[in-house]
Amino acid sequence: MKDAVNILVLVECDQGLPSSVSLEVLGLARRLCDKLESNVVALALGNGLEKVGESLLTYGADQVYMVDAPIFTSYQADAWLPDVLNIIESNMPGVILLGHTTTGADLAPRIAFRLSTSVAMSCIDIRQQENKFTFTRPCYGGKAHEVSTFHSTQAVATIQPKTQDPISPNPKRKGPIICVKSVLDPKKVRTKIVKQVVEENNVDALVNAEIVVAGGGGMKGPEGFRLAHELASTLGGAVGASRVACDLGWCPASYQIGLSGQKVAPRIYFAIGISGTMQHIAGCSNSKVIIAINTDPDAPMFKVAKFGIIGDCHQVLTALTKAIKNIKS
Amino acid sequence: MVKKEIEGEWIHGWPDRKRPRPEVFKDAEGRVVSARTPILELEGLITPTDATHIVAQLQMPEPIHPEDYSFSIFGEVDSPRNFNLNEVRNLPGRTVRAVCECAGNDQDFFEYLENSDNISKPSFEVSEDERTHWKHQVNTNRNAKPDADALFEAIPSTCHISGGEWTGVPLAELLNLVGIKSNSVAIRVEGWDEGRPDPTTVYRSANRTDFEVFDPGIINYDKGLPLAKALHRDTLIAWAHNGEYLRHVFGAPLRLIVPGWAGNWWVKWIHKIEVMDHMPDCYHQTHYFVSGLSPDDPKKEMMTALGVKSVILEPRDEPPLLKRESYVIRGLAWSGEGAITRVEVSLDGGNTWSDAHVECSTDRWLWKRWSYLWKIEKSGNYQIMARATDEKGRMQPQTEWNFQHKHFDGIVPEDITVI
Amino acid sequence: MHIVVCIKAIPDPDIPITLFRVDENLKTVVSAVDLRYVMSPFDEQAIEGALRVREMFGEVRISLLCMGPESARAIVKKGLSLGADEAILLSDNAFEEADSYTTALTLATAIKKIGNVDLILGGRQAADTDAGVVCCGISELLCLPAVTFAKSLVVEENLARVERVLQNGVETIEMLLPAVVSITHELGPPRSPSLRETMRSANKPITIWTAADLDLKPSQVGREGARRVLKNLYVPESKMVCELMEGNTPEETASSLIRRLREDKLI
Repeated sequence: MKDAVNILVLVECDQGLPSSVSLEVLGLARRLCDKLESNVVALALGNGLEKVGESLLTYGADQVYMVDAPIFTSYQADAWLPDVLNIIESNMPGVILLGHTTTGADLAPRIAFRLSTSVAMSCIDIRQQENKFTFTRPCYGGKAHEVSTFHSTQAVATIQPKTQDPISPNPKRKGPIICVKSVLDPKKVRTKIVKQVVEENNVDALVNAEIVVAGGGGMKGPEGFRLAHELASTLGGAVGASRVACDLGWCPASYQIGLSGQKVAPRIYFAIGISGTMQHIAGCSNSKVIIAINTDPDAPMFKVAKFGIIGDCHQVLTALTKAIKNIKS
Repeated sequence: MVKKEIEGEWIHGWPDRKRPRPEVFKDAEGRVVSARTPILELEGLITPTDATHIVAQLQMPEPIHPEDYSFSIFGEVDSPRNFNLNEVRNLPGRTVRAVCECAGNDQDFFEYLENSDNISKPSFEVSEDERTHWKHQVNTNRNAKPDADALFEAIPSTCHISGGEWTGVPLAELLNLVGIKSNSVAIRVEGWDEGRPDPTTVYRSANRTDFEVFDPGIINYDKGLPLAKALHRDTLIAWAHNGEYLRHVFGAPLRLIVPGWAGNWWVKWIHKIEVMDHMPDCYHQTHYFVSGLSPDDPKKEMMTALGVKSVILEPRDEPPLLKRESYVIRGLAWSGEGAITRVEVSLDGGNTWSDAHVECSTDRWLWKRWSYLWKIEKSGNYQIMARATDEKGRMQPQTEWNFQHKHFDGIVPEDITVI
Repeated sequence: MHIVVCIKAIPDPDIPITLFRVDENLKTVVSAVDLRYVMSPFDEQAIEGALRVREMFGEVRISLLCMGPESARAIVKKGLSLGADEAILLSDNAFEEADSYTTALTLATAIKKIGNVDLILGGRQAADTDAGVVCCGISELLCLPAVTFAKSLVVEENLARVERVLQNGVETIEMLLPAVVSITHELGPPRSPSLRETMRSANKPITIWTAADLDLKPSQVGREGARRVLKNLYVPESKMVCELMEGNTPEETASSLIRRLREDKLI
């Protein structure tokens, strides 16, 4: 299609491979471009990206740019922006997409403002009408959805993890993989990463788990989480929490699922002793099946749950774990 | 008499009698700026702090935190200095119990006694509704005079009186510390509450609007206390009221206590004390709170001590029907110049008088409870009155009619019908 | 040192879902009862961040900057009673219905007018839009370095040291002032207003600036200057009907649940 709008996807890499959320964004871009008959351009910045190019083509990119240098090992806005803007300028994509991660949420607004436009953050869907795009995102703590368009010719958006599917990998896909020389002047980077502490936390396990057992205020203390861990390990799942439980110190902060926490989309989500604020539901609403367990029959969590048990969290957890162990034996 | 059922409320988780609540008036932001005491619901001599009346002549100021607070003493003194709250609190203190009555309390009874057929009797009932203070209902337009009758209706003049216990240091002690000079005549005490005096207040007081009220512009509230009263051992600079730190609405952190003198002397929110060699020209004792037979009376004087007063709390003629049996007539009595020594009761409109029982109390400046056993023998109409006498031999009433209707202490009859 | 904290007045985010309504024609939030406005919670944490810098650093002036209607004054006063020294309210009809771009532009212009600002703080996102764009937008418009998702902030001389929250850990970043930092809730709960600061706040100045005061034309700000067009605002319907498990004891309900999950081939 002539004058078709290309979509640029900014890819984050993790240990030499594209991150899972980047593949999700790529999948979305691919589906949109298929309708538009236009191109998906992927841009990856990082250190040690040899395997990345092929992977991106496999997952839907038509063209891949890579800027590979040690300075891109970790994200810093001042370091990444010059090359990102350089590629944008030479390609003039109509839409620029990033995954909504600490990197994407930081970088996307800056890209938008350099292009003198604004950005749709943490979108759950993008639709296309001719050459215009509409961006759907949750707001008001997840209680409402808004749909927006932009006046500008270029639009920037971040995509919420676990809302889009990657395409089925197609190793037959071919396209140019271009290694670009960085235009960055390192002296112009105004921030310095002095220390990085990688916490041995369960975030990856949580975000990728098929079964999640999450606890909230009804857990009444760390003891409840011990029971949650027992159930989770019996089922081969991971443990998460609502913000209340994390703020009270009953479990590590990295367990938090919600608007300002992790987004998960497991096959089964146990919400135990979680009242169900929209901010929390925003983090688990893409789960296939939600099971709510609470003493309060009016808890909003029951409104989004497929199955529910009204009962004491500790007792039900213990009973469930025992019952499953019995089945297994 | 229609018997009022005893109402209840929950207190500390237990069912209990309902506590006396004041009638409050709020500003546009919902803060209480004025309150009337539910005098008919009081049972003892100290009015609970929550039920104590509240008034601010100019307007409620913003609070100042005790740690940010200090006041200065200056003028005709040897060593002018500042004090903070702790320094004052560390001085040898006193606790005084006294009645605080607004000068304009019961003012409408002046007209009522002259004209009881045409004027409805001012009531001692207070309402539980929260109301907006009249100053915050309309912008007072200085160019247009308010309607005198409307004012009369809108602003009640009863129940601006409370009994309280005040803990502080005698003003004399502070003055002694700084050393007042021999030419001092008056102590000017000033609060940080400021505003432009509203002539409406004076018009309401006089119940007429056909004269001009002096406009001093924006001023701080102040009073020039004559030296003799200032040095009296019961005149205090108080930081505590009824056993707790003074509340903001009552003048925190420090206010002046002038037992026996009208409430407008009890300056709140003190930030300056000036020792002067002449009586200062304070608006609130030169133009307002002055005696005189008319606004032009050249003999207008500042009004200081209250008169001699008694009120009948029960039975009252709201409503007036009693059954023919024994009844106890009860009330309170107080004087601006000392202790009450005698209360007499009349059942026949003042023709004959008998002594009532006056409760023993050593607090000179606090009101006293009195009672009289009335064995009703015949049905009919009775006009019940009470009159008090103080330790100086002054008998009620003492206050002469004045155009601002201040310091009313007349004898108000209760018209009771026995069936 | 001079810190400017950007704050926003928003409808109470804790309003129960049952009272939350959207007028799809007006594209605004309405409520079954009077809508209560509060300070966006992450902005309260930004003020807390500024107060902690003052506790460690010493001579720090904290100014609040808020773009909002006259009614935002109450929210600004709350900020003053937490300990800020003064407030500037950017209030003008022209500022209304702004998007992230015009919001950042208006705030950045005001910061330039204030002048001599060492540190600009804000919450990581406003709890109504949940966007998280304005802080980086301000940094871009003012050409200042910025760090997002700060859980701790320390200032030494003219250097800021920020602990930034990552997906799987924490990184410590240093940068020279002036700079922009956005604060996340991992900073910890903000303090409550003290009696002293609440009493003092009545005397702290609140200045109002209009578009004209900022030399901004209506076409540059608010709805007219916005890049984003809101097409729809709606409350998504949940058609879920919850199946409650039967049973008199936890053991019975647990068994019912497992049976159902096996029936649906979920486990």
